[in-house]
Amino acid sequence: MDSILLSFESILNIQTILILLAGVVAGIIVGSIPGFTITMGVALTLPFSFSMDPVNGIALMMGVQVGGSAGGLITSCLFGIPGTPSSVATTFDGYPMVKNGEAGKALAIGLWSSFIGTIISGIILIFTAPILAEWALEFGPWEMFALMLFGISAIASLSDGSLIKGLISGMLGILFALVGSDPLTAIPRFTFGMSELMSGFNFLPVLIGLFAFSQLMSDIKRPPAPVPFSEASNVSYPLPKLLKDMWSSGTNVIRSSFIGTLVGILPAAGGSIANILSYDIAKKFSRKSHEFGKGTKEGIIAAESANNSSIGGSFVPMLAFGIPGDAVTAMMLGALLIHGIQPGPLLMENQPVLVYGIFISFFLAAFLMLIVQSLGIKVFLKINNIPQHVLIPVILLLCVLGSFAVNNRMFDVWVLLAFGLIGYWMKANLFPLAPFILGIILGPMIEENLRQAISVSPDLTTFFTRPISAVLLVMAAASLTYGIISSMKQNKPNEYEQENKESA
Amino acid sequence: MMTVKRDAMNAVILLAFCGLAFYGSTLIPERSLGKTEGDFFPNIIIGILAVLSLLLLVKSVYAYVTSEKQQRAEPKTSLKERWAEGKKVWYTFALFGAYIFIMPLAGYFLSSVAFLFTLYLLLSSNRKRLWLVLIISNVVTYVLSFIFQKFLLVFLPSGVLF
Amino acid sequence: MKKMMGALILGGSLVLSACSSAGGSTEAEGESYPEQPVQIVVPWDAGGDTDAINRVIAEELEKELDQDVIVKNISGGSGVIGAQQTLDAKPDGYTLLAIHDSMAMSELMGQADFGYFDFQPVSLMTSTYDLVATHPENPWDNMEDVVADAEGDPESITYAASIGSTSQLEPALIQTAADIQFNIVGYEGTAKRMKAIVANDVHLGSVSIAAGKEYMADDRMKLLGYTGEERSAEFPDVPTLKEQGIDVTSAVSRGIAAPKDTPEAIVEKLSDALQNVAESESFQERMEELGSEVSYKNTEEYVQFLEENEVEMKESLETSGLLE
Repeated sequence: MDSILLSFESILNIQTILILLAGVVAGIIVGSIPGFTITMGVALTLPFSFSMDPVNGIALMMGVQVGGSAGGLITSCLFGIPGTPSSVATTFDGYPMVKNGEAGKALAIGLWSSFIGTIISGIILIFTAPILAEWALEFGPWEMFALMLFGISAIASLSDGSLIKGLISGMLGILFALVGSDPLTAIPRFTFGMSELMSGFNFLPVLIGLFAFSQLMSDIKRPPAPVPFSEASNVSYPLPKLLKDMWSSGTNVIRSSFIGTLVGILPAAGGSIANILSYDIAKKFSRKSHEFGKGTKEGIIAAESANNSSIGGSFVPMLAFGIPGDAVTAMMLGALLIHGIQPGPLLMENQPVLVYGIFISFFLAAFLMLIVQSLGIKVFLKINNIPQHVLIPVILLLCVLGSFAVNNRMFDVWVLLAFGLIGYWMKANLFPLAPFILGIILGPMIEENLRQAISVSPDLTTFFTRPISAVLLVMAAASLTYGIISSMKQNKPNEYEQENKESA
Repeated sequence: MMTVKRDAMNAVILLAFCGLAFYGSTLIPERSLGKTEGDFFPNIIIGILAVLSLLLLVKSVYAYVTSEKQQRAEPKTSLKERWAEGKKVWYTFALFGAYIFIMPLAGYFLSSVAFLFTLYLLLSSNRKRLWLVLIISNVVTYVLSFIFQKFLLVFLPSGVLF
Repeated sequence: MKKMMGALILGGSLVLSACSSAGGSTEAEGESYPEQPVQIVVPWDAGGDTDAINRVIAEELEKELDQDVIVKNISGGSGVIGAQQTLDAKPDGYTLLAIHDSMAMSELMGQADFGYFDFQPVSLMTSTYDLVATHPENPWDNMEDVVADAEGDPESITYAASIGSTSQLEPALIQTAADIQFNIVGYEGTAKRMKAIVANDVHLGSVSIAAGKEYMADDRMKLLGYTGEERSAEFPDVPTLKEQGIDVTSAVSRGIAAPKDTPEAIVEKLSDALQNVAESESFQERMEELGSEVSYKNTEEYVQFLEENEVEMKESLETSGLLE
């Protein structure tokens, strides 16, 4: 108990709160610029964190992470371009909602979902971190493979339109993700002699190439009809109405936050998977699943509460074992290392003040994020009034800079262009983009875990004899079947005529 | 019917891509370092992709054959019309390609100002107050380079020609 | 009028761009170096051991040079991507590279077409030894038990290593020295390897001293052997591999290199500054916390060290069958 009080003392001072605030603001900015990821933002704060004491250093990084995860929703809603990789699914309903003239509502719902997701995952983190961490250890290569398979089964229900095309998109995504050195044997694959491809295509230029280019180019081709503008609904969405909206989707919020937290706990999973997976599950559970993709609040809620709650989840293995769950926690651990704190299973015992400090600043970051962004939304909504021909060049320039900054090389900018062309081709030919992204994210993990499992024991029945793995495989099969059946029902009569209408 | 024909073509493109990918996977050397070789997983995926592409081909050909004759002939958008519609897109792609080709030579600053300005000319029909556009292009470029170099410590290409 | 405005602004941007490209004067040979921030490229992810060590070096070097020293992570391809970029950088002493043994490995294994001597080595800074660890539930208490078991049933014992990097060398060398056969499973990155050991997904794996201490204290790992010449002061109870009849020592030696043709005066200045860093008390303290030994060598000694290191690496790879 003493240490909790000490932690409060170490957090609740002007300096720490200001640092946290600076982190949140920086995070929202970084998150809202397409071409910047949260990981990049946190990496940039790393040098600053060294000169601070450990709690403040972590608070700064946490601020960026929480702020960034919520900032990603701005670009996702306003432009249909994911601001960060973990807000891909936010575009599915956020952008249509903005097009329907409900920009204020979309952003407000996204923001509150992010906030509630963060809080719920924080509560789960504090009370069950040790138990959850032990549970996460049960996930060996077999379970991870089964889980990733479950994740990829979402392709079937995410490919609105043609199922075959959705599956093709997914396979293409996996295939492109395999370029580079083999994760298990370090042998170069599909590099065709280009040394720049040794580490594969960087995810960031691929993502913004696919989404930003295809979106901006179709805007250029057919300038979007001016958004129906009504001062009242656009600029600010009244809080009572909003709270009512959130309340009526209570189950969705809670379910999505749990999914996000659980996915965040598992090593290497993280926000981008949580975001899509939770969207897919919400769609399957919903009685109005046909409204998904057309601007329903449920889609935004599922996507945004999951990506923020995955942050809390990712702290579980970090605090319980000193094992980072993703790139951001890896950097936090690095910051601790440099301060001479060895993260490990004894971190909670040896550094209780620090650990509780992390908990407290996590909650504080959530509140600061809510306040800052509530004010920020009003500013961001003004972007909506800037004409396309001014905005598009600037966004493209930002995409170039962001891609260049990944590794300080022009090669990644060419990757951006290449995937821009691929994305444009896909969109023009009605290949859905979401399965492609899912393939890129999950493909390498499916491969790595499958091959690790086979290497450890060549006996394939192990996948079914390990209980968690078996359950997940059954779930994957069920989800795939469900997806296929519902997509066949949806467009049985004549898919092509339907598509003709859509593409016309 | 456009989509049907285009899908048949897409399927053929995808099959060709599978061929390329399979060729790529034969180039992966076998080192017997683990229980599975580097081409184990890629070949599974290439196989699935090839099957799916074939399915798409069969499906689109089937749809074409069973469709009524008049419907088949009906919507004939000429290449010219399609080009006119997508012209700006291809110009933008070309401009973007030129921009990133020139950037390492001319440096970030000059190429970016030129890119912003030309793309504005391409996208907007408004030809008034172009000097203002040029000023804004300069300011945006300079502010971004300032942020990147000073705060993010990303050193942008300075160019070799100047 | 408008045309003139346009011309003026265009002219203005030309001048601005000219100004921004001027700055790095090449005539400064050591005397005034460094006049601008120095960048150390760490070709690995932020948060790893190599990153942590080099960030500490950067921080200490800042004091010596009285100039900002920035760490830039350019990860990927087992360190090849970042190294490639330093290779192409201007040899003006403002871009440096953090290197370790993996560079020789990458060259020998054909992952990179360059090696140590395509750079200008500056100084060796630290050496880090590892511990072989296992889950407490496993029956072995030292490497001798492991060897005995492995002799009876080859490939029954799994060993996590990131294949193609230096961490693969350790099990490979043990295999050759003890004439046994492990089942080496590829796990890329320290974090994944640690998780696999703690969860007992694999039997054996290497951990750093600092991490090993924590996990052993919490009874989540047993430590079977140490890869140093002598026992570590931190673990007086853990015998070295040599003591257990396995003639293997293996260390990760981390140093700083510059692009080739960097002016001699600058290299010398850097090497001297790094020597001061290595001798400073604060640096040694922090390295101890990170579980690394400070093992400074100046440029001349370092070049010699790397030459020997390359030969040894080649021999190890050949004897362990990783290289024909």
